[in-house]
Amino acid sequence: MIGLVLALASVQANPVTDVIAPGAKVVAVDAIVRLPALGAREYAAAKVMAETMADEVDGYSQGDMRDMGARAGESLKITLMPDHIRIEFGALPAEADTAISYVGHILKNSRFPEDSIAKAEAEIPFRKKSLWATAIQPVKFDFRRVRREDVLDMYHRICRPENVWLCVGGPIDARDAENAWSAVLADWTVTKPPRLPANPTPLGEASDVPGRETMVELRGSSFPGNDPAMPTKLLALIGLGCGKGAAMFQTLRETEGWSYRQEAFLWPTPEGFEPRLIMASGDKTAPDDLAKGMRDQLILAVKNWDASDLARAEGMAQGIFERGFAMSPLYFNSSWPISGSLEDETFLAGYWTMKTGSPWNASRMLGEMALVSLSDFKDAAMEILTDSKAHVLPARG
Amino acid sequence: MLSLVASVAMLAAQDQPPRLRTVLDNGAIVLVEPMPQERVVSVQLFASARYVPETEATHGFRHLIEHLLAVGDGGLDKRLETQACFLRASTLRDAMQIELTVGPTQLQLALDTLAGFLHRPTFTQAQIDKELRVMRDELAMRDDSLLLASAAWDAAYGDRGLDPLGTFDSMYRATPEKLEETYDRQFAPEGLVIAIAGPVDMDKATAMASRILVPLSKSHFSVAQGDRVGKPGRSQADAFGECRGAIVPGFDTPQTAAALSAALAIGSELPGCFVIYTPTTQNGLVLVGRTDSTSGLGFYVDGLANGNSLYRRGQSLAREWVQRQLRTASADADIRGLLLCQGAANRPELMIDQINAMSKEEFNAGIEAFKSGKTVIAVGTR
Repeated sequence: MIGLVLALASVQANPVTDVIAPGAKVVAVDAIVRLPALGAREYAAAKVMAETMADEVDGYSQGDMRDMGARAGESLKITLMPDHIRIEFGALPAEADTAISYVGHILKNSRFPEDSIAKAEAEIPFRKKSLWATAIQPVKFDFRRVRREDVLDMYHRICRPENVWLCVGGPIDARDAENAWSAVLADWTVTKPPRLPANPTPLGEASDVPGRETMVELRGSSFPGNDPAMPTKLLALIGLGCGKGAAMFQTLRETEGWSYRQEAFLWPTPEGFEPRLIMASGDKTAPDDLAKGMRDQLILAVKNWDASDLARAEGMAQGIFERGFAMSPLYFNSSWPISGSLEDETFLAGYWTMKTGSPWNASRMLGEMALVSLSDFKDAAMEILTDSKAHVLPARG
Repeated sequence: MLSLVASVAMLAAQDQPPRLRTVLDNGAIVLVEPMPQERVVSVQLFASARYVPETEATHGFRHLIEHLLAVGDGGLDKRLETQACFLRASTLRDAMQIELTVGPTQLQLALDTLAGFLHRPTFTQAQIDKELRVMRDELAMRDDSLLLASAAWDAAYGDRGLDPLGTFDSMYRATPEKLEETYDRQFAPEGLVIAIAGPVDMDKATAMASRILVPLSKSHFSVAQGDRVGKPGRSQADAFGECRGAIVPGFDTPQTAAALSAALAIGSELPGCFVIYTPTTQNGLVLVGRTDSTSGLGFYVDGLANGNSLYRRGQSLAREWVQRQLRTASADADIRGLLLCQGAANRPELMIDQINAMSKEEFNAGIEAFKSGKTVIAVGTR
């Protein structure tokens, strides 16, 4: 066992990703923990883990951490997504090292008290999400068979140096951040990771949404993060559903009057990404007919796209990726897209590396988008639509 | 044009650099704050609601007008987005807000676009009916936090606290004539503010924005209502969750600073809480609530003997809550424009001053304002 621990301890950790923003008043610290494809029980354990991992941690008190965050107007947030857990914290620049240390303690020294786990398992099933949040993440958790040992197994399996991407943004010295992270890594003892079950039970999905609006979705085929056609696909998604000049807004809202809110976006999966188009509708048309109508109308719109639609998508891409418009197709938060905030740009820097093998580079992405021809733009949008499967979540009323 | 600009300069009442506030002869205001480090210029038009308070008869008309204006000629959004610009509009209790986000060299494009909203359009019943269909979906999609907040306002202020989003019962009564009258009151020049923040030249931007506003003639409208008066109470919302609202006077008072600090401190102890406060010169509400659970908030607040241990944290959070809104072009133009359209002397720094000066006793009074008997409580029925 000793030999194994030593061997694992020598595993190369991922380098710290820095987003240098000299004018920022706070420092954003993000730890991204990669998740493998999980079955229902394992995903529920990951949910409980994310909920409770900061409750009791060796090395700091929760009150101290809250006070430190408050000095920067921040609080600790831990979010579970299909392919990662994000631990997000902010601090004043003078306390950046301590913030990194706190995040490190959460990753390696969480105690997971029994009462915290019991409380989380009792509360989470009764928590309500908005209809949009439900439609974005329709997963239904089943905590019935999740025990503390399952949560600990998950913790030890995924919270490992080689599985964590630390990103730090703000007025920082990259060497200081690297040193602070090295100190975290220095005494990070890892053991043999528990194995995941070979044939996990698939995740359950919600069958309806609260309220009076039905959620109609066209879910496209997933593709890997390093897909060379990424710029074309992203541009096609922007053409379909980002901004008020997009096909979804113009067709589904302005022409048909079916919907107030409708968006197209890229959703993370353990294998890569999935293009999704969602419309909330209170229309009286049968939901399945709405889904068919949505696909038919969008296909018609894409057939009629011309150079002005490509130019709009390129302009919108510039607005999103260069100017920070809050309507990105990159839906890597729990129910809203990545924004131009320091916190999200810091996160994206590390996350894109984890997903694609290359750091996020907005200028390069826009440069590649500028080379996309009208026919490729239309073909990519058409492929998303024709490959998509309809998912309908009727209004619960 | 030169003489026009000169008269503007003579009438200017100025803030200290780095921002310039110009009060024009007709009462309209231009505020420019150069933020050279920003990537975008935010150009925001605020139209005060001082002459068009929400009433049962006109409830939601302003919101409907906002929708109809934003649609424009149908091609406006596509033209703007092609140039990497974006238009956003919203209806608040105290104002209607239209924001153009543009690049550093596109200020004129933004101002030309905003100028188009200052000429009363012709509304048709067909347009109104079509837009109402979409707005039905918007109202149905309101988040629980907004529904709880709306119920709290209703309990505290009754028909003086009507939700600016409106209801269908009233909006279906809208006619082109009624909307045009509402438009005239909403866009009375003395209630207009253009707030610009971003990488711009202060003097040039001021002159450019002033050119749009100077030709407008002052209106003859008068303010019909005095300040609203709030009372503690309880109400229900067709939502999930609970919230509590401290009844507070204007944004620049010690009580509001204390209630905001208290709300943020309470929120820091209960993960998942939301805090809502929109700065206003009138009596208002500071709200803290949660939408993931129906229990815990009231129990926690009523059980607090005092807020001594939360005092510093609450003060830090409140100070940062305001300062954060001054760090980006969009947020800066937002808060400054909203305050200026309620009075030319209003500045967010007044809030920071009150937060910095807040004593522990005042903070404890802020905590008390959320306790049963003194607060307004909204609970979800789902």
